[in-house]
Amino acid sequence: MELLIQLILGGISTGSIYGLIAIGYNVVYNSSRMVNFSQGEFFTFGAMLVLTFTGGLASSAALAHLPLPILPLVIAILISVMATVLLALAAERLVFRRALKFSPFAASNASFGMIFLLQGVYQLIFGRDYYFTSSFMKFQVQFMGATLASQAVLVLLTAIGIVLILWAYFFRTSQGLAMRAGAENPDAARILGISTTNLVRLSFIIASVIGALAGIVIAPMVILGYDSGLAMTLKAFAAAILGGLGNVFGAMVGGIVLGLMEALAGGYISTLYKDAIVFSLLILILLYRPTGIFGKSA
Amino acid sequence: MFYRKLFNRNKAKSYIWIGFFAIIAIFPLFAGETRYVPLLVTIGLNTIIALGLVVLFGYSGQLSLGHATFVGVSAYITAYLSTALHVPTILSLLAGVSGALLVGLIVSPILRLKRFYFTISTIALNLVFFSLWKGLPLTGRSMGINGVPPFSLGIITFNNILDYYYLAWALVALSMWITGNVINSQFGRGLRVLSQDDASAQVVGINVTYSKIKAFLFSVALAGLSGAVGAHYLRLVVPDMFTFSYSIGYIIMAIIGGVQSVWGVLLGSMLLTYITEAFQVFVRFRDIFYGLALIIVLIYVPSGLIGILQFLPARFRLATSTADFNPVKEKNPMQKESISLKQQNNVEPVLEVEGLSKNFGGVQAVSDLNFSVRCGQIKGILGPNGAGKTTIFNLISGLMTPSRGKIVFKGQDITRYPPHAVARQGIARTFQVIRPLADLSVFENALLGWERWFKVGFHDIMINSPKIRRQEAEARRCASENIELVGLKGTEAKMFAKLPVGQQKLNQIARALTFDPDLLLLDEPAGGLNDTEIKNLAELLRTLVKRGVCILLVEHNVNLVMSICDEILVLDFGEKIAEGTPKEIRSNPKVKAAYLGE
Amino acid sequence: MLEVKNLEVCYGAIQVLWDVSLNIDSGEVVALLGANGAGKSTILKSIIGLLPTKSGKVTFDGRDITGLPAENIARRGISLVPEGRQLFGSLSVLENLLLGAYVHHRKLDTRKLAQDLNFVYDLFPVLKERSETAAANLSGGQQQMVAIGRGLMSRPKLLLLDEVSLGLAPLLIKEIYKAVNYLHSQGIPILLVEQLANVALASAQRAYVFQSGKLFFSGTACELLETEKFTTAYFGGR
Repeated sequence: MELLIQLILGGISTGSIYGLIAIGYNVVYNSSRMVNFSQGEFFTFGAMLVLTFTGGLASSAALAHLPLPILPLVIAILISVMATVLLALAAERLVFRRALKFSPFAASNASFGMIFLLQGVYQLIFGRDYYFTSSFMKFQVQFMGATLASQAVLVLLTAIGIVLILWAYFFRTSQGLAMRAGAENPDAARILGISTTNLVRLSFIIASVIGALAGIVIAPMVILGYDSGLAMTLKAFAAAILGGLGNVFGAMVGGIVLGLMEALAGGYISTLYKDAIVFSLLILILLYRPTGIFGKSA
Repeated sequence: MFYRKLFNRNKAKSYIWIGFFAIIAIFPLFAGETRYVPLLVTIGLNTIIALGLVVLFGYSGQLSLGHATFVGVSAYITAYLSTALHVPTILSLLAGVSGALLVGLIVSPILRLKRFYFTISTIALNLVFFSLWKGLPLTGRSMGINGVPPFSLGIITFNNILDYYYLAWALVALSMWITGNVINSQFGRGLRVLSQDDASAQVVGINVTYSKIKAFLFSVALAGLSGAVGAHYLRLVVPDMFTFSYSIGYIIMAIIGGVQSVWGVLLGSMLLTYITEAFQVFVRFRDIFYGLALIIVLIYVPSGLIGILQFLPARFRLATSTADFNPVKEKNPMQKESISLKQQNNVEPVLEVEGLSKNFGGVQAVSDLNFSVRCGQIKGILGPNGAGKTTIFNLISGLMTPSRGKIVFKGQDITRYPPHAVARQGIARTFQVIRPLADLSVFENALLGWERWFKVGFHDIMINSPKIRRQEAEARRCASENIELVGLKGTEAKMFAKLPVGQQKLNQIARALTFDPDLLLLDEPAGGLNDTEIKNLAELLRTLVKRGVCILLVEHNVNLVMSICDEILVLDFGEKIAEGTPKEIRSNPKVKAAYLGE
Repeated sequence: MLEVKNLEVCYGAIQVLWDVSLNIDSGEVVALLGANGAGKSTILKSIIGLLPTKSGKVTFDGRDITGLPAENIARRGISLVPEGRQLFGSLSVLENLLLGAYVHHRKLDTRKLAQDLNFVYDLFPVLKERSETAAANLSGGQQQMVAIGRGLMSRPKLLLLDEVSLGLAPLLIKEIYKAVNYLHSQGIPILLVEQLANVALASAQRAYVFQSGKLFFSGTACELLETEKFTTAYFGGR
């Protein structure tokens, strides 16, 4: 019983990270109809930058040789998130906007190129070492006999916070309303004076902020390296599909379902076959509900 | 002049084939024991996999990011059988390819999924197999299988690197030839159509599901072949050889080189494999280079590096797609076994529609409609915008299922037939809104209609057998005739998408005629035509009727409908408001009200 | 106030409009008539900037707006009620209407917004009752009302109506055109595209009749109703 609760709690907290990244997928998808497979790279960038600014980078990394000040955690996080936004804006302006002129499909393919490009850059500036970073705070929470580590609590709180803020943004601001309108019918949005180019840019900003924050809070719970983003990219994409591509909040549910599947498969069957089980289930779910848990069946 | 150019171009192509493989054949004499020989073996093995992706991604439009799975399945099977069970390598290799095909067949339901959904399931598949290989004792976990015996054919054993060099490149040549045959066949044209628009493929009788499965299994077989040979060449198999990154690598090779061209993927695989090796020295820049190359190609040269060659004069080009127009001059005596209703000049209805209804979420698009079309008749359907005219066509051709009612064609109830089956019964149609068929030429588009008469197996397609060449010749003759008949002679080599809309509609009609239908559904054929063209169209339709084709015509050029139709049906809000001869319709007050408002 | 001069438009390589010139003055209701496929909607789409023009000039309020992106033209005060309504189906009626006022969102005046909302609700009272319903769940007629209401929320200087009667039963068409007449009485200039010529000519003062992408002829509503030529454009002459 305790094991079960432990697994469920663990599953929910990792799953909520998949969900966050998946939200990033959906926000961009809604504004542009492209799937940005390099979404996970924002995750890596945010996490690695915080590591850099808090002085945790190994000396083999190029950035470790710059005379960077060691910053308090909160400031490091702020700066890292801002830097990630700049990175996303540059990617949008230089690559995706051009590729979108051909088609969303071309832009999605270009995002595979972006994965390689960014991972290549990360190897140069952050090095090829892998890190176990320490939790932000030291405390534990007991819940029905199970123990929840401090970082897992932070992850959950972050996920809840972001979802609430996003909800308020989409349902309580006129810009959020415009985002929802543009997602549904871009041409109709344009004749109302809504610039779809701006919406795409905005969506990249939102996606990169979420991506960076997700990477930063989950970092102490994973092995962090220049290529950590790829695994996230895949699992979050699975989460986005489970929740229904384009369904912003469905993605969070998709992420948690995926996280739970993974945790339970790992805990009760074998960590070795964890991926095999999770991804077989994913294929089966896709075949029977191709538009996700909340979508209409085929 | 045109023919002369064509001749040169074909000749240039065979020179390139011969020249390239001659260089490959003598290359080891100069390169000796350098690292270029093993490099070229790897290039060859990668090319074979990427060639499969030409068919799967370049032609049928399915992006697989999990093809390393099939490379791995085959490699593991041949390695296990030949190592643990000492099965002769030629048998184990065949078992490997068959195993990959079997896995492909089992997972083929994922082909039902569209676009990203298909892609994610291929990624998932790759990860599933990767973790199985890493976990199962049978596959040796992370250590994999070592000491795989070298490949042998009876008494000849492939021990030497050069043996594998020649083996790999012989297989590359074979795969290139087969892939070329597949993509240049009617099957390949069909794939190009269904990758852009299912409906366009279905209405000429293409079974979209089967075609996709065939394309998929073809690519799986090539991946399996490469994997099995690779296992014997490297003498070992480990899970890390078949990761998701490799799957992406194969796709990048194809995209960078030009995913619709066999020479393109060869170029892509040479470039990428070489760079992978060359950059080993400063491996840190490799990923950046991969990424930049992919992005730049996608944005600036969407047809791949081979696309750059398009700027060369025509005869030096390696056609990326075969828009070639090869006219066949002499007539082929072979006749298709057409069950011709057309000779029997009876007045029985060919098509009967009874109580046909269709609702879209509460909106009655078509309600309780009865009508019939008789042999040798042109029947017109008129009605204001949104009256349900196109819906009727979609219901007849099976693209939509009626809510109620019955459709009988030549005495057979076709109400619930899938679209390709309806087409194969002998109903052809054109579309009002031109479907996107970006890269087909006028001639190829007309050829597509021949689908109804093609009776060949996939093995015929692969080896371009005499049987298929005979049928292709007949198809070409028929398509040329029909292009001439609709008045598009001289535009054969032009791209369909670049034509004015009126000519696109004529091209659609030519396609429908190559299909040689018993019933032709024409949806707004005159839209976009000028007055002369409309006159010609009317003439054409009259000729067709004389030949015995029945026509059902939706058209808002009332003039045209009035002048050529024997009977007219007028719809408003999905209901029949009038039916009769043009004269009767013209004086019907209800019709006037529906058109001009009261 | 709007002047279109020698407009030519292509879809890709295909020319669909030839040398179209027309104008509309303040306070006028002008109809663009013609059979299906005559190019009427194309004219509206290129005025509003959804389609690129090949040549020709569009001036609005004395300023050249040719080739501007649609969102900029909308901000200058031209509002299009598009063919097929193009509502945001999953959003509520109220949200659809509010989006109509998006051009003003930077200097939002809530009092004005409430005024405009009431104006729309007075015009179509049924929308007030259904303000929380998702637009997709409305009937065709109600959806058309939302589309017009959304077009009005930006306080347009010029309203473009594209086939507002399409797929509606005669009674509903009457109701929609009652609203058009009311808007005319409020002094809003309207350029409307309509297939049902008689319906349009009851509300419009002038009309242009098109055939196959070319201007066939133009005149006042009374003139048009009497000409034989007019039926020809639809039914062809004998």
